[in-house]
Amino acid sequence: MAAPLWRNVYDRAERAIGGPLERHVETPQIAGALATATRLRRAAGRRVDGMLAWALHQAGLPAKRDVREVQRSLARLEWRVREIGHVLEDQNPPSDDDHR
Amino acid sequence: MLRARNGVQYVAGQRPPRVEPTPRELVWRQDKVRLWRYRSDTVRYHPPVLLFLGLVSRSFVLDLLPGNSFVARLRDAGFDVFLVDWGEPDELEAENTFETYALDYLPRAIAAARQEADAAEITLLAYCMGAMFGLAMLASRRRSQVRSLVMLAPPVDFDAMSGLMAPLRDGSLLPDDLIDERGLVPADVVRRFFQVRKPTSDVTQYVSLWQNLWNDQALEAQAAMARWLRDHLPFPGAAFRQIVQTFLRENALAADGLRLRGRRVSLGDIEVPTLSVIAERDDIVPPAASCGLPGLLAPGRCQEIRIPAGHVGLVVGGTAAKRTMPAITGWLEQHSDKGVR
Repeated sequence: MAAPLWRNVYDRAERAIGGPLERHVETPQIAGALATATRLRRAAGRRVDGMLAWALHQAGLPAKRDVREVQRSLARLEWRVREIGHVLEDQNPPSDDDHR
Repeated sequence: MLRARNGVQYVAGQRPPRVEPTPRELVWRQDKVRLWRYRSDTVRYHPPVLLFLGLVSRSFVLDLLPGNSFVARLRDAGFDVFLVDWGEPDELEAENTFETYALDYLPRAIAAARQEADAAEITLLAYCMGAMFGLAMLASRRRSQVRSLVMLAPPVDFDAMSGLMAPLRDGSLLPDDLIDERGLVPADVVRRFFQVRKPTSDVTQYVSLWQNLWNDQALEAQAAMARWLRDHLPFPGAAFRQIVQTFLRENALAADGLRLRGRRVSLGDIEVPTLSVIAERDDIVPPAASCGLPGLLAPGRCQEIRIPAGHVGLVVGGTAAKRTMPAITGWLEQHSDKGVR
């Protein structure tokens, strides 16, 4: 079914605006600006987290980052166990695949 | 009135798209990785075909909607189809590397599919970043029990990828700037990377929504596509660091300098026939990022075809049905045995 007239008008306008915008987004300047914004946002988030953690630690309470760190440690441990499982499985492979 | 009803239902999420409509059966699992089989009574070719993507999109994109499913089209063409779903990573997958997927999970999924189908060999069909896993696995193994490899939009030459990757390439943005406290690149960061490249896409989606509100079928297709474009997966941090260093900065695939677990592997060692399907209007994996592949493989090992489509249109929609599927199934038929084993 043919698109309605208004849609064709929109598509032409969108390409007239969107096309140059997309080309601009791909330039090093925009990529650099996005990278800077990402780093600044992350730095700001860390600073806020750090202040919250300090306040919670004053009250003898764990902060979100402490809980996350414990979770990460447990996850790393479980990942190591998985890897050992993979190595053991490779010693008795289900197929006759050979590494070069 | 119909528009108002559909609009309310759409906004309220009461009519989610029926993605993954093709009947399937879970035949193997390890950690979060799942292997699905799409059984068919009309299998005409052997060996079975194993489909997989990379780590960015969810596997439902290959089984999008009734009447618009890559998986169903392949099954209906007479192939025994399997699909690998890598699962949604969390803290447990944060340390997963490129090799975890290419050298651990993929060979195991192949072995499981072969066992399930009682097949001596299997054909691989990989989309986008999945092609990197397929190439890496085949380059590192002899006797991989793989008959052939089909790649859709394979990213090989990372110097030809989007200019938005430049900060990661030149080091002005570090991988750890994007990795969160769980050790993952959040799905939202992945989504914003794609979104920023198409600044008008959100407005266009709402315009399309308004246009299709009266049409239930078109509305569902719209919702499914919107889900594809918005619903990305978090990326394991260790694999992300490795991809930035090895593939983006060193361009190891195109430079034939890939090392996996400390060992050098060369695409020139791949012994099976391959097909590279390039989308001519692809802005995520531009044709220039794929077209050097035949030169990296042994002479005569790689056939290349070009489809007038974008990255998504390569596997869903009219062009996928009329151009991509016949090209792929024609090649697969030539590289398969006729009749069920």
